[in-house]
Amino acid sequence: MIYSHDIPSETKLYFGKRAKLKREIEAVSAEVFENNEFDEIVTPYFSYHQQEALDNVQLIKLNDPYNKDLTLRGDSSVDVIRLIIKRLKSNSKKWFYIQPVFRYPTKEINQIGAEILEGVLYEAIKLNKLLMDKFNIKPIIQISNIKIIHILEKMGISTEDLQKGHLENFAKIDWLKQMSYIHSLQDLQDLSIYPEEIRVELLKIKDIIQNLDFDVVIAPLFYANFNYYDGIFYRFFINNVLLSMGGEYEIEGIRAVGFSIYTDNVISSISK
Amino acid sequence: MVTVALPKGRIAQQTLHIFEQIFKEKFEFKGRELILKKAGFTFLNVRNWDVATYVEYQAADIGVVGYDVIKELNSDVMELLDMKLGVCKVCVGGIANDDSYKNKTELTVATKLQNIAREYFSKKGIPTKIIKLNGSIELAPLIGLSDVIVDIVETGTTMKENGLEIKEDVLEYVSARLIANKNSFVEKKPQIIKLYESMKELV
Repeated sequence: MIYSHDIPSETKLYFGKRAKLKREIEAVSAEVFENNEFDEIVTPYFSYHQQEALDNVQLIKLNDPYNKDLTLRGDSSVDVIRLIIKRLKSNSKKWFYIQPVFRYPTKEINQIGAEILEGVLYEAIKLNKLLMDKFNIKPIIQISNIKIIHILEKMGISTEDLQKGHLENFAKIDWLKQMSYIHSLQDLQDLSIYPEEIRVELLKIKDIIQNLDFDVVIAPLFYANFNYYDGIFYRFFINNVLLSMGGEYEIEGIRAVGFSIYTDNVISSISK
Repeated sequence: MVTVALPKGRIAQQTLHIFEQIFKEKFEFKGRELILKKAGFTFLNVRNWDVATYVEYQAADIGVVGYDVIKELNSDVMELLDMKLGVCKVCVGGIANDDSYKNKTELTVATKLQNIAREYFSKKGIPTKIIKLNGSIELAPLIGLSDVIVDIVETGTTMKENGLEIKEDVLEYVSARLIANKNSFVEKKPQIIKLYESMKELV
């Protein structure tokens, strides 16, 4: 039975103070982006290209007048970059957007996002941190590298061990055990124990952290399933709530960095 | 401060005994106490089936719980260490000396481990009707409620005493695992690793 006050599961309803807070978060973010010379973009709710960003099962599917598959936007980055490069043919490299995405069956996620074409990741992390400072939130900032996971899988480390963090199995290989314990920049001082391929990727993490003037934690074995982040990525979280995530990727042959702030989670954290 | 969720009963006692060996002091829930604070840890005394949930939602940073629970709930947690406690297996059980269930086109299965049972028979391509029971699972085939059961087996005595036998192994090795919340493991890695290393020496 559906009551007259029911709304679908995982849709978002804001009113009163929380609605005001949402508006303020978005306004502050827009101001910060404008001050940092970002251009704004609002993309269509409907998209032909979301399979590049998300698994098919996560998408809300529809059909266009020619019965071709399309979906509600489940992720903004892919469309933002494609539209900038292919449709707008803009020379601007820095873009931001404030718009929701939708996931099957009825999930709405309000997001504030930024994409920097040919950008470097530490710029994105700094900007993301600046926004969290404006919201007066002090999250844990985690830096990881998805390439390390891919290299380990190629080396024969089981995906289940990586997903579940089976430390006992990592302990069978000295350098893998050492890597599973890495937590701070200090742990990256001597990388001589690691195979060359892994060392290169750990050095990339080190380089980025050396460009930051705030504390971060390093999690080289953090397992994540991404469709487009293909290198270093980071997460901002507090009390088990993911506030923001960003990383390096390539779309349409162009290297870029970007991040998303999960507005709904930021509102929850501030309200607590 | 690291928060530890422990399942009420024997596993909690055995885990606290490990803490006693590490920290050389007494770790004990008094009476019906649900929270125990000691040596920089907060222990939560929760139901076995809730441990993984407490950890997944970070009400606790780490916990000790059976692999069957993790598997049944499909908990999104890290499994750091096999504690080698509460060792058992999950089996298909049925009436002793009667394999007629193998000829059925659809099996009726009584179990409290619905997801584990569904996945097991689904992988074998056997259609099933799963009946969720909360206890005395062995009764189901005896009174015709189900063709077989899927249940935890430690020694097999309960099955034997009720005229049942193990037909197939579903999970050959089940034991208590040290689990961790994924974000807690990132945030509190030095503390959790230190504890993990000490525990590993003792299990």
